[in-house]
Amino acid sequence: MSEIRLNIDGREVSGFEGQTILDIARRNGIDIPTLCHDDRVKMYGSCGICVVEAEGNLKLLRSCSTYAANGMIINTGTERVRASRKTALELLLSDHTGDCRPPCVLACPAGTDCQGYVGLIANGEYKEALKLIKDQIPLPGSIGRICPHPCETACRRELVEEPISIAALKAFVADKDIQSGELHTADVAPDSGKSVAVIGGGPGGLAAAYFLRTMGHTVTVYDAMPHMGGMLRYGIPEYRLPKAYLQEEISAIESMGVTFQNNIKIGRDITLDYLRGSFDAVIVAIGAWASMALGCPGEGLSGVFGGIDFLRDVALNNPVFTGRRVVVVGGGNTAMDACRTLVRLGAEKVYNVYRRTKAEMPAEEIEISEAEEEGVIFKNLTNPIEVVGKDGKVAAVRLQIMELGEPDASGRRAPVAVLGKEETIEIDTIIVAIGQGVNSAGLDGVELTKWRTIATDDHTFRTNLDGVFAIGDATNNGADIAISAIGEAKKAAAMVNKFLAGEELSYTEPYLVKSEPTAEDFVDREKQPRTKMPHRCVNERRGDFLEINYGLSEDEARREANRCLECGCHDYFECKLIVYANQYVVKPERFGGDVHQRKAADDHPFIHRNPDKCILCGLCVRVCDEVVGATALGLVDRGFDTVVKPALDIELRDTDCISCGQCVDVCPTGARTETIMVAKQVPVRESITETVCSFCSVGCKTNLTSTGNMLLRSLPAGAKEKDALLCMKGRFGFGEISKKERLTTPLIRSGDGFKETTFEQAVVYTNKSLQSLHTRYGDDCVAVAVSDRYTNEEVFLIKEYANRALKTGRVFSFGRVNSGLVDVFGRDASTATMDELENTELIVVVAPELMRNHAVVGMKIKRAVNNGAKLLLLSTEKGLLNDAATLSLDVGVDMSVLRQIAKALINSSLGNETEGYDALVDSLKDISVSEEAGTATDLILRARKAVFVFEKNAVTAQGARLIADIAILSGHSDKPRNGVIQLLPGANSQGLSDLGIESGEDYFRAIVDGEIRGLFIFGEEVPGIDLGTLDFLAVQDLHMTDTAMQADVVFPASSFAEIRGSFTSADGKVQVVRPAVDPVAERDSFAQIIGLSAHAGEPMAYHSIDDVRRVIRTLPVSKPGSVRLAATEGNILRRFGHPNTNELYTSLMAFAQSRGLEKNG
Amino acid sequence: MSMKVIVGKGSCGIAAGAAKISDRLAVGIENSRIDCDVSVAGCIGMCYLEPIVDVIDNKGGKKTYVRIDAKAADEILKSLLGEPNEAEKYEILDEDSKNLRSQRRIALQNCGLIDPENINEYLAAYGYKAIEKCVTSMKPRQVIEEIKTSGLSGRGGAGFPTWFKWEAARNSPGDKKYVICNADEGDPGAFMDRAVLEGDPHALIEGMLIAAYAIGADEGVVYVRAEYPLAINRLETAMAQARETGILGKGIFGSSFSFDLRIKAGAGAFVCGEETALIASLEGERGMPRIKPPFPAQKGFWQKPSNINNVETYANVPWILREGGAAFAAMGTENSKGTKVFALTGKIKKGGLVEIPMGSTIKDVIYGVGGGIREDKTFKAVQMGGPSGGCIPAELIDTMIDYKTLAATGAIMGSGGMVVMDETTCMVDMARFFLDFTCKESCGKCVHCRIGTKRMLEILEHITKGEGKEGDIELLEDLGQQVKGGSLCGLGQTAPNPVLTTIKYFRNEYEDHINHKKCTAHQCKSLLTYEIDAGKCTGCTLCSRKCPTEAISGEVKKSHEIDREKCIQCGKCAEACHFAAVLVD
Repeated sequence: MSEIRLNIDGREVSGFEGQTILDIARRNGIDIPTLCHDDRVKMYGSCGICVVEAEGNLKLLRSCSTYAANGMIINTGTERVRASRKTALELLLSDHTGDCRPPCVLACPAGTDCQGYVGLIANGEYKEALKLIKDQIPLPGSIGRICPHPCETACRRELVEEPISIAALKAFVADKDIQSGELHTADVAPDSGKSVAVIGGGPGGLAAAYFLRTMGHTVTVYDAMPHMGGMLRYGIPEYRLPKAYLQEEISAIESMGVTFQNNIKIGRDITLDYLRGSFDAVIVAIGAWASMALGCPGEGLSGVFGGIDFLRDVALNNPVFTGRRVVVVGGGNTAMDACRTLVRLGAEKVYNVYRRTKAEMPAEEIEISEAEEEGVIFKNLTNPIEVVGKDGKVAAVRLQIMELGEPDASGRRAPVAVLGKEETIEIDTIIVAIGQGVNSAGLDGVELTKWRTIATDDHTFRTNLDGVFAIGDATNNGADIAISAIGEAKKAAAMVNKFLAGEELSYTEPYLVKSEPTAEDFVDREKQPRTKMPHRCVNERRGDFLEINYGLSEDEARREANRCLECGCHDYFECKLIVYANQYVVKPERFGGDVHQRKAADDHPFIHRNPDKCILCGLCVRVCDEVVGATALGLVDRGFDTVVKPALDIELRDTDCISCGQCVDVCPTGARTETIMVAKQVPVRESITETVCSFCSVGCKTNLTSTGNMLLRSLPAGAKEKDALLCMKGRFGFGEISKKERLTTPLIRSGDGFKETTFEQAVVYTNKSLQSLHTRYGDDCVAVAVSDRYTNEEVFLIKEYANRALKTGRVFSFGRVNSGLVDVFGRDASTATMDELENTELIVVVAPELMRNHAVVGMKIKRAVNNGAKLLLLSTEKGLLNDAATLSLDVGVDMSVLRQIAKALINSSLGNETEGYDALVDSLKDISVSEEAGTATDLILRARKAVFVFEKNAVTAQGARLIADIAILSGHSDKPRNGVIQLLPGANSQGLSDLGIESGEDYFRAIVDGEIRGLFIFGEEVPGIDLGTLDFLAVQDLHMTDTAMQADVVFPASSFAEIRGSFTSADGKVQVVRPAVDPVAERDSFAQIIGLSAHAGEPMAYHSIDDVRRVIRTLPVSKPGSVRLAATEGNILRRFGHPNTNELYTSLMAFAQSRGLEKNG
Repeated sequence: MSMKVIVGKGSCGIAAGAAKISDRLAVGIENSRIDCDVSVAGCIGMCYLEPIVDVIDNKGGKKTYVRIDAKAADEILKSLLGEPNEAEKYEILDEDSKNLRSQRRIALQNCGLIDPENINEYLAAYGYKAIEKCVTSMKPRQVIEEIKTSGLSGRGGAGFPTWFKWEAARNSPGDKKYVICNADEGDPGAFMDRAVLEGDPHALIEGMLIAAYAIGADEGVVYVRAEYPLAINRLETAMAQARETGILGKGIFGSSFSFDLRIKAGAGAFVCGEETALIASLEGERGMPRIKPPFPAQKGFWQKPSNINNVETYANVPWILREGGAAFAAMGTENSKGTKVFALTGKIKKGGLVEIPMGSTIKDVIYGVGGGIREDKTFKAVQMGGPSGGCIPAELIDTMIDYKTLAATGAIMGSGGMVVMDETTCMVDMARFFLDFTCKESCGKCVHCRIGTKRMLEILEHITKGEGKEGDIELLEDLGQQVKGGSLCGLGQTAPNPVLTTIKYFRNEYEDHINHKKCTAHQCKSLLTYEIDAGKCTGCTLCSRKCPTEAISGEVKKSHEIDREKCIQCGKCAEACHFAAVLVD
């Protein structure tokens, strides 16, 4: 391969002949977008997104599939290139149906991820839900209580029966957060050196301060009132939002380092110029605090109050005289707040005067109905025309009777006076709550609108003054709901941040795919009524200002959250299409036309297909074929109607699909998604932890994704590498585990059942019980069993605990069977690696259920066969492997074929120097070789390199010995890309062997015979053995297993996703296990064993898993059955501490020669 | 020498009833015990005259009878018996036979003249002489050199120099190479490959043998569309006869050269005419193009070097090797050598196949061999090259038939389809028709082709329904260019051509449709208005009875009226009126 040089976007770069333009660009850090390319599969070039322009070439080139040539001059970003990419994206999006984001999120002025937090609540992840809310709303509990929730108005559950109680759920998690005593606040970036003044400490100002503070700016909030909170504090009555509660949320903002300056009014105590001079930027969020005037005779009389003025005075505990009879004018929430406050203050008659009917009232329905319950008298279709005074005070109000006429500009029917019809009510005071204006005094030089609000740019929030921004009720269209001000605060904070960095301020409306389903689309949904917010009964509440609502209980909250229809695309955070769509500022509307409406397919337990989101990049089809080899999918039909599905309309579950999930992983959109094993699937950003799969001994690396303490997915790690594969168990299996109820505390037998206990008590009980057995029955009456799913570190600790504290050498595993290889090679271990398997010439498989037990090995074999290797299948396996086999024959129940092959090898060889050869020859003297076995032997002999694969638990020790013999006889045991791979059932079966854990086979009898009186089982199910002979049984496990049911004491185990440690794979790789989530129990396995040992008088000197690992690493290498962990760099550690594999072979060969060959027959 | 009756039994002849005529003649001859053979031939190209019967008398004289029906057949029988007859009435007109003589037939040299099911007739017409010459006296390189001298280029559409592909395949390393014939003729209105397969299959076999010898292949595949059963049948017969004769098989003509051939019937996807898609289909995969390079000459069928030409290209090869490349190159223009076969269809008087030297003009074809426009209407345009081609307007009728000159107009030579249009053709609707075809035939791989052609089609549909809006033409142009640039294979790269060329030459028609809601050719039904001419209407009530929406009212024997609101422009009234009183505009 010769080096070539080319110029990409003006940069001189180099690559090699045979590389594509895309490849060279990427390797040089130049990103070219593509939707259909993956390095693991053949060039395809369908999406047309990766086009580039090459000098001297008339056509655009697909960089993913054009080989680079020396001297090429490439431009990846010309107008023509951008236009072509844009057209391709627009065409794709013109037939792409769905909802990138759910309607609730789109409806929220602050863009709160409602679906996200509702989903997290459904899964019990309250803290994560709260964090997600606090990304957008710094005052979630307050907003959850008072928000008129446009999200619920938009909620599609309405099409089924009623919307989700989204606001109540928000308050629920906020309450939990406050109850926890540690209010969550966002992380604060390092000090930026910039300062911002915020004028106004209402929801908008506080939110702006919060977001600016997270960016590392120094923020000071100035507010004219004695306390922060603005309208939330002074406009919303106590019974709707307790002020102590609000204060908690405000204090949390202060705790982030925001400075609060109260009782400082702009223009009175401080000037705007001063702030502009003292701070790098100013945000004005002064709200709309001026009550609109009534505009009829008599409004100047004493006893006429503004609605918000009244509410503020009540909040400040200022003396207010309202009298016995009060009219509140207006139909909004402020009017309702005023009415209900008056009721609580003891007014005898509270009238609400509104010129239209209840149906047109802007106040929330619940406010109106609750006010009515509390006794407010609604005078709908009336309008004050005069406030009648007496002695300069209000005495009565004259009301014009109205009726509804034609709809006006707002679409509502306009109130029209019914001439001559009037009514007069005698009253003491009148409260006018018909709107709010802005008092802009003190903001000298700031340009105002004709409504006297501050004029700002809708998207950048700039005012006419440089460095002065304005948000919330005080700007443009005036008063709005609190969440709008908060939404503007977040956007404005981002703009101020850019301004402070000296960047250009601009805004582009993000592009999102949206759909409009109807009730028809949800007819098959089961109806589940909305959970009503529990609240105090009317008689109780109307007399005081205590909070009306009790809040949702945990059960109610989870049930309610589970009603969510999950409208938003589950792939939003991973979708490449939407990223590019926004990068290229698409306008797919210009290509409007037919749009597919196809039925999404749920024909697989884990994989969901939605053809309407498919962009036909073909990646799933190609990866399934070229990488996995299952060829479960194909492209069906032609042209516009082309669709990805299994051939002949069969269901995906009925194809050769091995449920590896690769198709989901490569899908660039939400056309293929997986079923996640949680209560509610929810699209949220996920954390990724690279670790090792725990399901078998192949040792596949996996990326566990999680949110909070919720495990979401297990993905093949290193997805770009060809060997990144997981089988169904690795990909989807952990969900099954977490489905069952986990043990979280120790349990002690109590009568027929169990009772929860503390770790201390469980430890004492266990140690004392075992100790007493020791005194009664002497040495070795106690044994310890450990599962092959435990890490090396746990196993080592357990063994230490057994040896030292329990004073027993009897440490075994029920799952471990006697080895055959040890008799030949001197070690119970594989002599070849998985990597070698893929690069050998012949693979001999003795594993009747390989595709079920170790599917990834099956796929590796399939791939090796595709690359030219031959496969000799000595077991009857249907499907993929059988199709790939060069020769397939039944090994026979008595392994007779293996004997015949051994015999045929002896017949064809000139003898062998290895010890034991003569004995083997002798043992096989009566065997005659069948024609089939002869053919198989020929295959083995003709191959220059061969790897033998067998499943230990499917082959007897005898069979294993034969396989090892055959490897040696055929010369395939001791050279690179030759050898034997012994597949084991558990993730750490090999580790158990290396650490000297004995086979359980020898201990069954000892238990049944009562030789063993006490047993401590770590993580194993013991089927078919009567444990009733035991005097004492302790069990540690994840769940309440059948074995645990028989125990005297049960400890909760930690799952592989919760701990640090290592597993040793079947081919001897020691790989690091990392925790993705916190242990469910207060003490993890490590702490439990340390505690047990310490209590038994044998304290261990390990403070962490790393300490344990350090000790394991120092175990002597030469000692058979010992292991040494080498470097901690990277994820793959090799046994013996030598990266050179020859060491392994040499040692193994030495074992083989010293032990000699097994006698057969 | 005995008499001989030859019945033209190409697909066109059979469609016109040749099989029945042939049977009738055979039975008649049998019954009357005349010493006369009945034989078949393929299509002579004059499809508009089918069924055609040639009678060769015992002196070797030949008479051609055309448009034969049962009565005519009987007259021919009488003439054979020497009875008084009216057969003369059916003899071909001098004008028509002159047209045949005015052509230059190389690829079609034997079509319609010899019995395709009888190898001896091919052999008698110097058949297999060229391959014999190659294997006995020429080196493969010399064969390629001869092809290079001839200037032959691929007749399937792209017009790539044939020698270049052959040499590339020859030079690609590998023991195993393939020769593949693309007989997937998919253009609507093109049938020259079928004519060769049905009329002269040995010419294809010989052409492929020569190519195989030149590049070093020993195996060939003919990819024929399954919709050509007669062609498959005759090719199979020819292959069997060639094998029997030792022309296919091992040690051909005593040399060390071996070659055999098989047929793969394709399920008829237009895109399988694209060579990489064709190979995918041959290998049993979905017929989808892949990226080139590697070219098939490097990695083709089963990843082996493969040469792919179409039927017409191969059919030229024996002639070139027999007569010399220079003789071929003597015909045509600087860029385009030899002859080209065209399939003339549409509003043309003498539809059928014609083969003319390169360098003739479009006018020569349409008004010369083609006899002009049917009913002597005004020539408006000709669509060349099928759905991938473009439209050439009347003002460019003097355009020379030459790869470069044609490409300059926006059309292409293509495989040789010529669809002739007159004043009654709506160019927008015509573009819609061809785009509908390519849109359905898109394999679905490339975004631009899969969705782009669909969106273009939708716009055209809107325009022809009177729902066009301002900006549609510009959008079509923009999208058309994007589709051409963004598609991987020839299908997508050429699919917008009919639209782009009609916009180029007939923009006013598009504008009429969009801005004035008028279709001047009166083809787009939604845009028509119907009115009754009071002067002509007799009040017969027929129109009002035929009207499905009761839009026509009027008393008996009094002039009727059409209610425009109710009228759905179905045209039933105009069809029904005996007095041409319904005015359509």
